[in-house]
Amino acid sequence: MNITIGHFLMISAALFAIGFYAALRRRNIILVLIGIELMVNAAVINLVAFANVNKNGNAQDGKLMALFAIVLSAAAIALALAIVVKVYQHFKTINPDEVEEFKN
Amino acid sequence: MNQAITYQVDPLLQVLNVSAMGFIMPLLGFAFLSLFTLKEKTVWYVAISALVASFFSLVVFFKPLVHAHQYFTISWFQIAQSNFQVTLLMDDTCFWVLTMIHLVTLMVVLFSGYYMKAEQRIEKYFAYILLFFTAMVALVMVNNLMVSYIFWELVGFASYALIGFWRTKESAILANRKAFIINRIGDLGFLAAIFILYNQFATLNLQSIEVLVQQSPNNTTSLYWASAAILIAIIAKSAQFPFHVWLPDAMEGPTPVSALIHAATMVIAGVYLLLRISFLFPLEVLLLLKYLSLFSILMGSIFAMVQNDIKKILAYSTISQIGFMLFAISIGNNQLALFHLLTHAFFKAALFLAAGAFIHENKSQDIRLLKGVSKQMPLVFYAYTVASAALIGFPFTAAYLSKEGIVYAAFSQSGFNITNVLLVVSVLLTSIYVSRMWFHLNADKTATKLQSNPLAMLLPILILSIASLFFIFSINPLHLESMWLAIKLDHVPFVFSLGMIAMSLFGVLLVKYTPVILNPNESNRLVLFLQNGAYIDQLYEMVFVKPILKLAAVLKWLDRHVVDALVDGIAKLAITLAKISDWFDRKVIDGFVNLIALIAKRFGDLIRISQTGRVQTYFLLALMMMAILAWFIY
Repeated sequence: MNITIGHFLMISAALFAIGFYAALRRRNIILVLIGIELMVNAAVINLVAFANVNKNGNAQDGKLMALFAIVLSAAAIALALAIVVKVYQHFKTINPDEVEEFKN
Repeated sequence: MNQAITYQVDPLLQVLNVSAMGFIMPLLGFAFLSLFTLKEKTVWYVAISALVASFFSLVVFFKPLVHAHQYFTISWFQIAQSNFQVTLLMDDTCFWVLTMIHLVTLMVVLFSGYYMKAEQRIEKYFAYILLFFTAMVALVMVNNLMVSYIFWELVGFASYALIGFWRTKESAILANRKAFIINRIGDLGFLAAIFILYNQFATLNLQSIEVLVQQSPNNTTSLYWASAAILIAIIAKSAQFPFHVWLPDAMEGPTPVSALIHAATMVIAGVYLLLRISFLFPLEVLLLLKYLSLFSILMGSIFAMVQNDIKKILAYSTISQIGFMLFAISIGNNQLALFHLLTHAFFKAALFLAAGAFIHENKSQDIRLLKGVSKQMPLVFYAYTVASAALIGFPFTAAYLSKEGIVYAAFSQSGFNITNVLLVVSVLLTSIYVSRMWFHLNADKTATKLQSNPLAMLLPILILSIASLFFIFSINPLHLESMWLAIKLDHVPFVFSLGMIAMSLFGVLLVKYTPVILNPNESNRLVLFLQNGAYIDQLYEMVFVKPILKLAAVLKWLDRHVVDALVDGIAKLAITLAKISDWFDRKVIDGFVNLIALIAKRFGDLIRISQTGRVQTYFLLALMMMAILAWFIY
């Protein structure tokens, strides 16, 4: 079986859809963050896949870009988790539906 | 002519002249009494001292300035090219009338201290008298119709105020209203004459008018109108037929006021004005005046014959005597009219003051109830007798000279005719009503003599009755050999004088021996008719007052139902318009504003839906935005 770019994109799309669903439907902020992370990873898979397809430049460029994105999203998630700890201390819950302070 | 008789005076002398006018002090007195509330005695002293000061300035300052035909002019104001001046007369006529006014007013004010003792509002009484005095003096002095008119009105007002001095007395208020309204009719005539004369001559200065009339005697039509109009003013002010009705009613006022205003001074204002303005009168108007005054003479004396109220008798007598003065003017004898004016003022004021004393002591005005006064107050009664003799025209009184002079002048002018015979009859009638009064007052010989005779009562009456005697005016009791007055009198034939005296004596004897005249039968139709003044009042009531009141009622109805309805309709229309406007404002304008607000709100609500405050919704939205962006990019 020959693995083409289409397979990568389908995996990526599936991963994105799963992450999307999790981000929207979970009632736990940590799981929502995991969903978001899944969507970021789907995008990163796309980046790696496209880097493989591109024959014109250095093949390592795309992978390097993917590494950057992983590191930055990890940093962002670390920050988000710190905020989640603070939110829990404040609201005694991490259900996003119950945290409605943004409304006002 | 104007140049020739204008007397040039230097400024200092002008100031002196103004002070010499003498009405400054009374005017100040009037202001003082109007402003301050003083004790009764103080008020009296203020009034007396103001008058004495005025009298003093008249004799000391004014008298030396008096010359025949002298006047002096102050420029008053200017409208366009017309220069209005105040012209003050300083001739003999003026001086003598002023002297008479001063003397009578002073006596009346003295007498008022006795008569008006313990009255309410006494300071108002004296204030009005001083106001009247000021206006009267000014009226006599000014020789300019417009300024005259002002003072003419002022004396009328003072008379109105004083007739109604007892303001709680219904009849007094009715009387002063009547006097005022009838004088207004006369004032209308005066005003009309002023308009006509100004239109014709462009001046209201009497000297200038006289010059212009003499220069161009052919503008007679306007002279007819002007003199007829001014005749109305004169007969209204001087209470002649048909405007005499106010004078008997005016007797409702205090008796000293009747003496001053309604016998001696104000009512002769008409005669005085006529003396000044008679050059204007065409012969036909003079003839009308002659018949009117003759009618007034007869009417006054006939009405006086049957009255029982002593003041009413004297009032009708005043009408009759003023008729004599106007008669003298109408036959062209102004000097005699002036003479009779002066003599009449003194004896009539004396009669009124004496009557006032009788009334005050007996609290009655009915001559049948005053029957004891000859014994009660003999001294006053003697004075009263002297004044009565003057009124009848007996020798040794001044009025003998003036009245006989007038009758003789009438005979020597037009001989033996019906008007002159009627004049002689009126002399007889005068003698009858005066002696009727005298016999009534002298009827009861048993009355006790009054103990106290205050000087304030006695002195004025005695002085005025002495002033009615001949020697004030003439050194010869039977013929006027003037001491001060520059009056030329024809020498009256002895037979004529004798006839006149006999006529008067006949009247007295007639009363003495005819009880019907002394006590007319009250149930007699004729007597009743005369006692009610020939029902002239009732006639006026029916012919003038009632229709005018009806007209007023109609006008009132029109006002209420047409004018008011119109006004109400307009108001209602305005309210309706306002309501429509209100509705429009509320529903349309406000609706529009609300609509805009509502649209904004709905839009806001629309956007609000997205603002749930839920993190995941915002997240979804962001992704959707992202998708839209991506869709646009590809």
